[in-house]
Formats: sequence, C-alpha cells, structure tokens
Amino acid sequence: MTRHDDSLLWEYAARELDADDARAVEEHLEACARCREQLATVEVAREALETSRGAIALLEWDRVDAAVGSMVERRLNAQARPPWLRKVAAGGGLAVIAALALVLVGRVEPESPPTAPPLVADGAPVPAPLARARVDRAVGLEKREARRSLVMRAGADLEAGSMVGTSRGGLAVLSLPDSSTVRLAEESQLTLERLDVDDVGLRLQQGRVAIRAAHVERQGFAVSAGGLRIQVVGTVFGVASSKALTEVAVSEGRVRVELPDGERELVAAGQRLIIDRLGRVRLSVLSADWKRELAHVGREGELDASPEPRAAVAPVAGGPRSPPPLVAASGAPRTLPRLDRDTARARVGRLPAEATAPEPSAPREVPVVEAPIVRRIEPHTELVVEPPPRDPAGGEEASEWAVPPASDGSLASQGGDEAEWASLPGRDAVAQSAVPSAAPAVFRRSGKLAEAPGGERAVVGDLETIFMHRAEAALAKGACERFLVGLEDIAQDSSRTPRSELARVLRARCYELELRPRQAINEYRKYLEEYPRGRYVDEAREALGAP
Amino acid sequence: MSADALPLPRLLPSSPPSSASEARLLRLVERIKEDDVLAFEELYRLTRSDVARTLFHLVGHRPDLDDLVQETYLRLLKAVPSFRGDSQFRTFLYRVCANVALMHLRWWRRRREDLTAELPEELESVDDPERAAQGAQAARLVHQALGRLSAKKRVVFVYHELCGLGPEEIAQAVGTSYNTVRSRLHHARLEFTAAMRALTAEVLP
Repeated sequence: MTRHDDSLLWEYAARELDADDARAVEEHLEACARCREQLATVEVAREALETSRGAIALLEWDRVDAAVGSMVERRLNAQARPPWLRKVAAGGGLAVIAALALVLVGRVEPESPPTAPPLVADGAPVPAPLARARVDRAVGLEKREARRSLVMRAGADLEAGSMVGTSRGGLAVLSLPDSSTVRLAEESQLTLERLDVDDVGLRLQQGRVAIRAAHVERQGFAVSAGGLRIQVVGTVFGVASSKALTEVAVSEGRVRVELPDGERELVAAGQRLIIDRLGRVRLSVLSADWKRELAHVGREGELDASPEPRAAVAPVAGGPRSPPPLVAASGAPRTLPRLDRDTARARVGRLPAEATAPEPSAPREVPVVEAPIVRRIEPHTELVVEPPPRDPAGGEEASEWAVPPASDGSLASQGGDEAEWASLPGRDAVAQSAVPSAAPAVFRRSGKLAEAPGGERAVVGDLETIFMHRAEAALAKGACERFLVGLEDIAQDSSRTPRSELARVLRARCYELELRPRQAINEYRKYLEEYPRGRYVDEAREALGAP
Repeated sequence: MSADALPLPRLLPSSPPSSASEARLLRLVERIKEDDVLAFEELYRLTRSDVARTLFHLVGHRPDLDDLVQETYLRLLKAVPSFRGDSQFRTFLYRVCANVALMHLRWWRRRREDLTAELPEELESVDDPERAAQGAQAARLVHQALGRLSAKKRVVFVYHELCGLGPEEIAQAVGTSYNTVRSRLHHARLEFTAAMRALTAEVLP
C-alpha cells in the first residue's frame, strides 16, 4: 500500500484482503501515523457495528400481528368465495346473486377494506357530549370509519354514530347507556345510531346481533335491519340480516316489527319472524341456535361468562420471541390450505349437521329460509367440547384441545400418542359430548408459545393436527393432491413423531390414488427406512411386494 | 465470482423462529402460491424478527417502524406469487425490505425529517441489561452515522456490514450489478468512517 487508501484499511480490518495485500498494508502502516490513526477509527466504527448488530427497537408486536392477521383474514374471506361469485359480483350480476343467495352467504353492504392497517385503539375515552356504549368484550372487533379501521378492545368506548364490525370468528359484547346489552356475532356490522339513555337506535347492516333490552322507561329502543324496524321494551331478542332474508327472534318479552309496507307484527317470546327478499313474511318457532345465541346475552345484570370462542390475535406472550398466532384456529377449517370451492362451501355445514342435537318439538327448518349465516355460526357452537381435566403428554398447552378419543376408525383412534391424536375429535366424539347451552368454547390455539420449551412446536403441532385430519378426509374422497406438499413438510420432521410417520404413509397412499405408482413406491421405501418397526410396516411391505 | 463462492450470510443472533432453513422457507412459499394462508402465517412467524431487525438498521429507530414491518409483509403477500426461485428466498425478502426502506428514506429526506427521532430508550429486553444498553448506545451512534449516507449506499452498507450478505446477494436484493454494489460499498465505508469520526469527536472531549 503506497498511498493513503482508506477503503483498503477497512478491508484490512475486516480481513478481506489476500495475504499479499494485507502484508503491503501492514508495511505502510508501520511508516504512516496518519493511516494508523485512520485504522483506529475504522476499528472503532466496526466495533460499533458489531455491538449494535443485535439491538432492535421494541415494537408493538400486538399491533403488527393484528395488522398482518387482518390481512390474512381478508385473504381467507376472499378465498371462501367461489371464483365465479367474485366475477359475477365484479360484473354486477345481481340477479344471479339473488337467485343463489339462498345457499350462499351474501352481504348487504360489502365490507370495504381499510386503506391503512388497523390501528389499535388506545381505549381512552373518546370525547363525546352524550352517553357512550362500552365494549365489554371484543374479539376481532373493529370500529370502521371512512378511511380506516380501529381495532377495538374491551374497555373502549363508542360514541353515537359509530359503526363497528366483527371479523370472521369475531365477537363483541357492548353495554349501552340504558343498561342494555348487545352481542354482535361474527362477520357482522352494526351502527350505533343513537345512544341516549332514554333513546337507543341501532342499525344492523349485516350479520347477527342478540340484544337484551333493559326494562327501563324510555322514549324508544329501535333496531333497523333489512327494511325492518324493530321496537322493543325490556326484551331479549335477536336480529339477523343477510341478502337473502332478515330474521327477528325473541326469547323474552315481545317486540313490534314494522315491515317495509308499513304493516306491524308483534313477535312474542319463543317466536321468530322471517322476511325474505321477496317480502314474504313467515312466523316460526324460535330455533335452537337462536336460543343458544340469545342465552349468551343472559338475564338482566348478567353477562355471558363463558370463555371467548376464539381470539383473532391472542398475544399470550406478546414478545417477539414468542409470536402469537395471527389467525386463530378453531374447529372450522378456515386455516387449512387451498380452500377450493367445494371445501369452502362444504365446511359450513358439514360437521354441525351431524353433531347438532335436534330440538324434538321444533319444526323442521326449510333450508330455503334458514339463513346461511345460522349455519355459519353452528360450527363454532356445535364443536363445543368442554375439555375434561387432563394432563396430556405434551404439557398443559394442549389442554384446551383435549377431548375423549374417538372409538371409530378415525384418525383419533389409530393409536399412537393418545394426547396428540385426541386433540381433534372425530365426529362421534363431538356427538357424544354434551353441548352445553351456554358454553360457546371452541378450539383455541395452545396458549404458550416459543417462550416455553417446545412451545412454538406445540402451536405448530396443533395446526398440523388439523391439517393431517383434513388430509385424511381428502384422501378418502380421492382429492388429496393438494396436501402432498404439506405432508412432505411434516414427514420430514426429524424427530420421527407418529404424525410424521403417518404423513409419510398418507403421501404414499395419495400417490397410489393419483395413479403414480413410482412415487408411491418411493414413499413406502422411505417409510421403511425411517420407521423400520413402524405401524404401517406391513402395508409398506405389501405395497413393495416384499415378503 | 459466483454467489456460491461467497460465505453464507451471517445470521444475526436471534431466537429459534428466525433461523428457519432456506428449504423450509421455500416449502412455505410453494404452499403460499397455492393460496395456503396458513403457510404465510408460519412464514411471518419465522421471519418477523429478522425483518424487524433489518428494517431497524435500514431506517433507524423510528416511531413508525411497526408500520414498515406491516407494509413489508403486505408487499410480501402480494409479491410471493411472482417469486420464481431464481434466488434464495431470503434474498427476495431482503429485496422487499430494501424497497420499503428506500421508499421511506427518500420520503423522509424530502421532508427533511430527522432520521434519528428522539424516542424512548426502550429496546428489546435481553438477559444482559448492560449489554443491551451498550448495544442501544452503539446503535444510536451507528444510525446517526448511517443517516449521513445516501439511501442506496445505506442499504448496501447495512446489508453487508450488519446483515452479512455478500455483494452478489446484495446485487440480487437491490436489483443492480455486482460492480455497482462494490462501488457503493466502497464509498459507503469511507463515508461511514468519516461520519463516525465526526460523531465520536463530538461525543468525546
């Protein structure tokens, strides 16, 4: 180094020079005080870089997770719609939509995605001259404004004029100034038009709401939905609104419903009024799921104390080392891969139809007037399984998933780790379990995450259990190809769990089904290498033609 | 010089979720392309610490760092379908981070905002508070010095000196040539050293 080349000093300090260049620099340094001083500066700079490398600002991970989770949820919602419906909606084919709205979940007012990531409301009281509603419970609840959405948490206040909405799997319980209680179901949107102590006005744009109106003297308590106007006094009732129809269900007291043509109908306790898109009105008996829904609102002075059905973001640990789940899992297959049209439609009513304990006195519901949204709620309530106290092998993380193992030939009864396989009930297990009328607990993700040893693994394991169950179901239907990649991911687990073992076998079976014998043989060979004494050794040997 | 000949990028010390193998990330990418949002969620959990740290070094300690992380994953969700596997996925992720950082660095410069805004000295808690404090102080100094670099030089410098990427990989990440990266790195080092000298002279008597 015969000249002062400061960049060479950096490369020298970083040991990026070859031996000859490094020697030349050293010779120069011996004679040049200026470069020695410069080298010292370079070393200080590099040391500062080294020290700062691990530093990171403390982020509000809850907010970030919620934002990314919302993004994923929107994607899920978009996936659930059949492609042709997206095209028709985009093209404005309203007649087609109306005709098929009986079997599809429509929306009265399409939700416009927020233009900015949702921001967390700080829960601080919003200045308002009049009384406000209070959020008692919030799961996936947003306050929707013109240009943004605010994530609402329990304890936040809502002023008159606020529009709130719940996400898929969401839930909200609001206390009104007149001591009434409002419970908003998932994928619902409600505007709090008036919130005076003696005058309450609500507008349900879509979804479902259950209301316990306090027995107080007031000017009015009205709910508008789907062209109906419901006047109430001291009543427990519910309103559901979709493109297909609007329902008003009453469990206590009575309500007066003003129809679009001006006529008025009284709906008494135990009754349900339904008006479809053609304006046809029908009075029916209160259905079982409405009874359950309205029971949550509870008696006067009581709020539903049952655990939250799910958490859109469950920041159990909250720190960046233990990322909480973004999109909570439940019995509903919303987080499963590749929701095709059939799966997306079928999942709405598959399990619950078999697990529902029918009301013997209730008239058989005609599907055409059964609001699809009712079916949508059923998976969450029907998969209620109050976990018996148990201590699964995996630790307390999986306790919320623990259910009695199924006795049929389903996944859960194939032996292996009982605690692991029993975490997803078979249909029989669901049917056998009691469905408490006021216990909406559904599957939640395991609580503890990466902070605990294997915690993150526990979370991933729960998701994989659901995935495996679905893969097996798809295999039975002959449509397993889309599960191959995920099964390979699980099969490559070096810890050789029963799950990874089964994943390998399912891949082999899937290839056989897909008429790809070479790949199937390959999988069986891998299986025998990985699990020489495994549960499916006989199957693998038979497939390979080995003795 | 091919990318294979270069040393592997030094991963920053981090908790297990962020040290996912490239193979695992690629598997997740394939599933994401098939509309498996569960896979995207897992990808997020595996990479978010790295992304947050990278953005922190690219833009400094800013109050809207959360928004930048969100924006990165929003862009990633849209961009993953176009990932063709002609580079490592990590490189692709660094590209997204660089785009987000560059856009904001330029925007802040136009507004003449102080890139090292006064913020509470809260940093991620670590087991060794003293080490954390030293790291925080060093980070402040480093970010002040980085603030004197142009946005493009800053990205190249951060990727090489703090994220451990080689010049080939940086070239892929920022969408330029190997020689351009070497040139920017050369100048960035000189400027950074000069800035550190000036800053330490201010600090030290």
